[in-house]
Amino acid sequence: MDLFLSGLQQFFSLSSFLFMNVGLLLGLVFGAIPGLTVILCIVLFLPFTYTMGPIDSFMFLLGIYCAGGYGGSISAILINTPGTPHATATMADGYALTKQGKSKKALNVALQASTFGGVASAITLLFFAPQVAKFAQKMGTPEYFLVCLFGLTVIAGVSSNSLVKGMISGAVGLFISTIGLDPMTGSTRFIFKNINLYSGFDLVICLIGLFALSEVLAKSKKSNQITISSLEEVKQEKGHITAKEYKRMAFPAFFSAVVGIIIGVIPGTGASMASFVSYDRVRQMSKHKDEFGKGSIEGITAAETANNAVTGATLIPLLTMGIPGDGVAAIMLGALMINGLTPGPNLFVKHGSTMYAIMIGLIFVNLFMFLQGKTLTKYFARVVSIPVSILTPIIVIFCFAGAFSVNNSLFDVKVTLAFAVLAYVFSKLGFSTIPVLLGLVLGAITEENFRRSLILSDGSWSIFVQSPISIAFITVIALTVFLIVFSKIRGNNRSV
Amino acid sequence: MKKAVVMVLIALCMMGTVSAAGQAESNVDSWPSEPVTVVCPWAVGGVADVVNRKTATYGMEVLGQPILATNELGAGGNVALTNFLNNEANSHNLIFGAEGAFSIAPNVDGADAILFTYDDYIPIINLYSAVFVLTADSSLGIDDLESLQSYAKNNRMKIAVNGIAGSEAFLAKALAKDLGINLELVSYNGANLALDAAAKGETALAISHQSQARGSVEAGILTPVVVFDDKTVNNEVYKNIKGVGEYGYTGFFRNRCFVLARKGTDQKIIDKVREAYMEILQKDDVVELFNTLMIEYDPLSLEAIDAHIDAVTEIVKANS
Repeated sequence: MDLFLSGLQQFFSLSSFLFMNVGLLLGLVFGAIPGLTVILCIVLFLPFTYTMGPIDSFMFLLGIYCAGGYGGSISAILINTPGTPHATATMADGYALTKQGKSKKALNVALQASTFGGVASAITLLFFAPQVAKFAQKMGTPEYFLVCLFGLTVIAGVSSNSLVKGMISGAVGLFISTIGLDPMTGSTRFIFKNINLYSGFDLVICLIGLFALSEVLAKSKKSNQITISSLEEVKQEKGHITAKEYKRMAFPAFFSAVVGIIIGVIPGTGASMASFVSYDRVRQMSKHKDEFGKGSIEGITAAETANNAVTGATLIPLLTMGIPGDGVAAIMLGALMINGLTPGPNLFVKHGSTMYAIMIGLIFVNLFMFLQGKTLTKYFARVVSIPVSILTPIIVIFCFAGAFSVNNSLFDVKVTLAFAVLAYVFSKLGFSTIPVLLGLVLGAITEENFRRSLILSDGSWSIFVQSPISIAFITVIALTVFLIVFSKIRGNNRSV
Repeated sequence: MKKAVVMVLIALCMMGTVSAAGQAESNVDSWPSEPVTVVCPWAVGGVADVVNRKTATYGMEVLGQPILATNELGAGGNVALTNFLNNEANSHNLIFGAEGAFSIAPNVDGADAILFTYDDYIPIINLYSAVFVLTADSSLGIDDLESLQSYAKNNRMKIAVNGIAGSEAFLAKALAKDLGINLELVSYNGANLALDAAAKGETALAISHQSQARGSVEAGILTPVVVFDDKTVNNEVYKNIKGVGEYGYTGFFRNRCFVLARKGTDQKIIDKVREAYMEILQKDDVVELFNTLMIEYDPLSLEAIDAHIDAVTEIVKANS
């Protein structure tokens, strides 16, 4: 309790709130613009944190991290282009609402869901970090593999109308994820003596091509479309969420917060997997399945709650074990080290009040994210009233700049174009590109954990059924596959 | 007449050559005439990146021009080192490099994709050295090489390493060979995950930088066994941990991070940058940062840097 109060005291300073809000604003902008990434934002502004204390620098970085998570949904909702990979699950329902003239409502749902997910995650970090860390310690390589395998079952849920086409798309994503160095043997795969292919493809570069540029290509065919909505329509829309809609949002929000927190503590999986898994599970359990993909607020709630619920959970393995779950967490690890804070079990013993200040701060980061988002929603929504002839070239410029900025490489710009063409061809053939992204997100970590498990067990498959957590995951996977096959057969029988 | 014209032309050419040489001389003397970019080819937030960004803050003070710290990622640094070949001698761009790029990458699978060699660069200074440490799951009771050897006699042992073609993997192979024991390598995507594997008991051992294992060692989850150096390490975390070299083994090396210039860069520029970094590395806050990151100020001579690359290459070749 003393540490808690001391942390509270340390956190409440003008500078904490100032840097938090600057970080939030930057995260919102970088997350919302397709091509610009949260990582890029942090890289650009990281030097400023070197002169700050640990609490201020963490407030600044967490501001960028959390707001970036929400910011990605803004472009997904307004222009059908996710600003971040984990906003992809938000895209279908968010953009569908925009096309119905309800962009403000979609943005409000995303903001409130993101805030709920973020606060739930921050509270978990503050009050249950030791318990969650213990749970995370019980999960090893075989459990990680089973979680990834479970994630792959989501492909069935995002495959549009054809499961076979979805599986083919997913397989394409999985294949692309194998390009580069073999993670277990170090041998090269499909690099054709090209050094740029050594590390495979960066997810952000693929995302820009698959969704942002391909959307531009698709829009170029609709030459008669002047704007998505007129400015008058945007101004008239209030975007209020009714009590009935809140009721419908409640279950997806709670369920997805739990999913986001569980996935967040698993290194390497991240917000994309959390948002897709939550979206798919909520869709399966919803009484309004037919609305998904057509503007479902449950869908937006599930995806956005889950991807922001990852933020606090990611800090649990980072702070308690020194394991960065994603790129941003890796940078935060560096920020901790610079300030003389060594992550690990003793961090809370040696720097308890600083840690409490950071954990309390994360709750406020999410609350201020809500305030900033609420204030700016009406301005964001006006994006849809910008003439397509002006908006499109701006998006293209940001896409190319963003693709280049990931590795400062022109090769990546070409890769983005290749992915845009792939997505365009896929859409013409009736294939969804979302399974491609899922394959890319999950391919490498699924393969890695599968092969590592077998190395650890000297080739014995029994390693996958040795812990209660593994057995629980296998049961869930088996049930999911059964349900997919069952619903497919029932669907076929009905159509006959 | 013809002869006179030829003489005039020769004179003009000589004047031009002398003028160009003078210009080049003056360019070297006035270097840096613009901001100096230092490329870190590894991840943002990592040790090298943190050091790059910290040292860059003194650019104006020691070089009279800002140092711009930047990152160019891909293929464990090999993409940036390849792209760096587009620079000419005496350019204002410098890059970090380490033994991984020059000793390991050319000797493992995928080497045919690498278009550079160590000779394409001139080392300016070794910015820092980091000593690797072998840690063991504390429950196994392994705390030195003797207990490791005796444990390995009766048990199959797995060791977690950061990548199968990384420095840690070759150190593990060399140690296993020296001790005459069987260590099965398990590759993890990062040193932190490798350490976590040992902490959870998935593997018996892990190799990492000292700073990376610090948290688990302080908490007593992992026990330090040996450091990959020629002498004992004794600091607040690692108390009297013997070096592999003290046991008489030679298959070890430190992780070193060099600042490199493009081949052909004038010695005056090399000296200027070297002196500038030597000055920066003495600054109090830089010294403090090095202590925090558990890395050492170790400004090797250029010959010693060459020798380090050769020595690591030998270890890699012997264990590939």
